[in-house]
Amino acid sequence: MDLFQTLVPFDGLQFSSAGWYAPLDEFMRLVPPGYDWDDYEPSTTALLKIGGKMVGVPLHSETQLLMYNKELFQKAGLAGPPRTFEEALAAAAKLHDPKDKIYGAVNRAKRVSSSYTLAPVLYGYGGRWQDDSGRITWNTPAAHQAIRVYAELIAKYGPPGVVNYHYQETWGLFAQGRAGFFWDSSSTPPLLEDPKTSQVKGKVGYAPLPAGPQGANPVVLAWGWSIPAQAPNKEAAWYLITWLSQKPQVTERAVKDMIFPARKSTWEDPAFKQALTTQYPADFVSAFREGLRTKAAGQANPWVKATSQVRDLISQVIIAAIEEIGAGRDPMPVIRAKAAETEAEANRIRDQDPK
Amino acid sequence: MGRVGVTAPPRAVTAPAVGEGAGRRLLDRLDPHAWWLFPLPVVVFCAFIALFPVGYTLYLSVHHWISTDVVRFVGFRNYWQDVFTSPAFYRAAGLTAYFSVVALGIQMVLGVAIAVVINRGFPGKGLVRTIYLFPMMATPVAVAMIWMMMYNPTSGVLNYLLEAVGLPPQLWLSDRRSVIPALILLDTWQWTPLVVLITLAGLAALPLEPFESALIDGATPAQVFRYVTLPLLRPTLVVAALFRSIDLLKTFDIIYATTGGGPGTASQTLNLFIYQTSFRDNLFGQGAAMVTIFVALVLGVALIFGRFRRAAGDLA
Repeated sequence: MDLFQTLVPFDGLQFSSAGWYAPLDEFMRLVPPGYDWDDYEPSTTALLKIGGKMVGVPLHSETQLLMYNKELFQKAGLAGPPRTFEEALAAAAKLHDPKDKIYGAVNRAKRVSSSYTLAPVLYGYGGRWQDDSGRITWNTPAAHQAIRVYAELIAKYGPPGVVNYHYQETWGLFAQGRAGFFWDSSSTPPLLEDPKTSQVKGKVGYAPLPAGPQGANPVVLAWGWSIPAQAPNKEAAWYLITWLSQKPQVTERAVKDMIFPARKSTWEDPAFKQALTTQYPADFVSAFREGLRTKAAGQANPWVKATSQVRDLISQVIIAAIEEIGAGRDPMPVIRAKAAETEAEANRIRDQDPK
Repeated sequence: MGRVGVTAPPRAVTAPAVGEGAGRRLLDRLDPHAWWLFPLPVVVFCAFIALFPVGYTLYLSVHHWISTDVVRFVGFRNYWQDVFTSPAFYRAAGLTAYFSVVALGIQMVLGVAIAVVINRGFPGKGLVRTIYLFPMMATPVAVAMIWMMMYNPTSGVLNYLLEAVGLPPQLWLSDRRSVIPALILLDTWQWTPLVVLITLAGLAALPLEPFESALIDGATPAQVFRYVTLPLLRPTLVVAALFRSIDLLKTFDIIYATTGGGPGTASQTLNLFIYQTSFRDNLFGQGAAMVTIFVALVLGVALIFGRFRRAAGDLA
């Protein structure tokens, strides 16, 4: 095997501690003319570095967007999308009409799925998954606050049974026109703009992710091309990667297959711009590009080997908070207790990672 | 004794057919051992198939191995940390017991009742019996998908029916208090037919005389059922209960396909917990330790039923 695809924020620590990644820095000057490393959105290349060493070349880009139902917003008398999480709570309250089976907001809550959509709230309120030493730190006042906001939004203004909502359920509800807004991956709009999968085509507004007191922090993800450390033909693999990732090829794939690029020049390419305008509203493109200029790239989840196990732990805090709010109680005591308990467990799991 | 199946051919037949030469003599010498030599390859093959996974599981259970790492020997740490002192393991075990015991009780009572009614005979009995077996034949994941739609709190048919008769809608699978009962209902719908089937077979095999004498002695139908039918059926019922309890303890498909163990971990039974530990978290050592204990528990249940069955068999 000479080549593999990798999603570093999820698998990176496992793969790198197993010695699977060949460091690519030494190859970086071996590129076709006009390749231009500076053309990449820095958030995407930052994702593919481990300990400062490049382990992959981005093959696309993905960020998080706020998606809202313009029709429902108009009906509720809302002028535009919420720009902060506080505004999001207020907007959801206005949109919420459970008698008509219209729900103010929806977001993921089922098991491991929710850490990805909690992350921008966590960073928005000044929390972090881990401190500088790598210890997991979601038992902090900032994290408690972020979890409360996240849980309150969907517990009060979400659909009944939201605790079992994964990505399929959240975008599904929104695509039926029954949710005011939600935030998720930029790979969702293709589903929302396809009449086969969506009843809200043409009614969806796109906006940058709401901000917390510490700004907007959408998670950026990018699959990367990597070369295994044991690859017999590293240079041939590298030539293939750089051929596939040079400007003309990236642009061609973007225009033909709507692969959202990690290259700035492709976003500016007239043919791609033309292709975008026939399929997506203008606010989608601006929200996407703003989402790529984030400081929180790659903060989808803590940097540990047992990613899923740790993601499941944080989701238990969210679920407990949703249940408390659903029962009409103040969620903060439960959030504090549950965050302390799961943080300790997450650190115990993390301590098993080889140093 | 011991020489089951393949036995040595009678001496009288082989002895006169003796030829000359060393080869013949070797065969003669092997001949008395044919009873174990012939089945040997199959026995070795079967032993390997059966014993290798068990042995490998035991081996893994004392090692730490997270997918990409080298396998490290850790002694009984997996058993100690992730089974015996792990609150999550006990919670999963408790949920498994809750789910299995309640579901078993409901399915046995319901199954026997339905079997007795079908056994009575009525027009269209054959058709009813056939239709009643359908749920059992359906793929569990497909069944789970259909029930998930019926259980959907906003668009499901069950809440629609509740609201139609003026009852408050329920969260079903989406509330930690109702998720296990909802799963029990689903499992009961699918697997009570098995109890019916086994009970019907048992009923058909019962002798008529005890029933006749009970009637002559003036027993009421309820008394006949309580003092004649049930005791005679006991061996059959123990078998049905054994099948169901082993399956219930191992239930995976319907839970995984509906809730994935959620909300939170409210329906994370042992089997799901083990699956997630091994194949989602890639902690193969811990998963192997859990599965070893789990198999011991299931075996224990099977042994208890075996004892019941022997006792019941003595009675009948």
